[in-house]
Amino acid sequence: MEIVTTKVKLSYGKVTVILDCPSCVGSYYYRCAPSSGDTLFRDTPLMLGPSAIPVFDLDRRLRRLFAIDGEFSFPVAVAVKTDTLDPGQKKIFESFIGRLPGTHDSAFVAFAVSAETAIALPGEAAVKPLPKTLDSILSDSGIRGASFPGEDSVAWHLDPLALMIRFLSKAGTP
Amino acid sequence: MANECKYLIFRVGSKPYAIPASLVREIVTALPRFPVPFTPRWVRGVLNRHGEPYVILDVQVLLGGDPLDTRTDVLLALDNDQIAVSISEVLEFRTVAEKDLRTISAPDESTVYFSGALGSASDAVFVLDVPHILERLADDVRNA
Repeated sequence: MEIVTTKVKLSYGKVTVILDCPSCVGSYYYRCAPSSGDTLFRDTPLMLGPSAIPVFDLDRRLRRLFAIDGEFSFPVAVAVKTDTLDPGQKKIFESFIGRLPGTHDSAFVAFAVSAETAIALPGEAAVKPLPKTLDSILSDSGIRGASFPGEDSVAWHLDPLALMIRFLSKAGTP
Repeated sequence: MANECKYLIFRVGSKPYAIPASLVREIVTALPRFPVPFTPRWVRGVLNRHGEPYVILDVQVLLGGDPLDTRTDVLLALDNDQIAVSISEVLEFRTVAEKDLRTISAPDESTVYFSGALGSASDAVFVLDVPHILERLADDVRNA
């Protein structure tokens, strides 16, 4: 699979989320209802050729983190390679996907979203350095910064892999 | 005039508080607020003022009360940070002689976030200790 680094723009009305995806494989149509429980991963993997890629339920997390409501329902999974995880992070990740039904390929992870999805154009809503307090709140969270495309909107820039690891670490051993 | 300081007096819920007017950049109303994840309960989100983010603090929650229902915020003039404090309404700007700022000799849990008080004991207006509040915020964020 070809690896590219890209930014994926998710539009949820006044809230935009820009995923800064390292080692991105691509975005794929992916329709799978969220699990009934408050699980971090979807039950159904994203099938790419012979690979069954685990799908992290990023959509549910984003809606909670940024108080997003409303239906933005084009279902997409953004697949990225996990080679940028350090050994400790990879171990945490593998301990979670080992509990999923079936066998999943830990070399990749996909992020389920259901926003209006597009590739972010270069320079679009360029991230600005954050003021001190906001920067310390968001450090190590996976959220890299914010920008304000208009007076009544916000764009959060985040690394989905780092955000996922934060959630997995907080959740502890599954 | 020497030995005087001007304060912004405002109401938060039912109680009046003050901050030095030199710390006030702007008072804004009805700006959109956006929640910020991974924050203590007394951080109400971030607001966007001309493309600059300000972290919104709810002093009423910090002091043990319920979240303040308001759309008015004081943007603070700080050298290296962008902070807003939610208020119910502005009451007045008041010039106070330095000698009339009473110090809090033995701060307890209820007064630890105040640097002093204006007025008499019966109608005291506590002055918010902004640096101390920001220290508490840094601690809460570290422990989040």
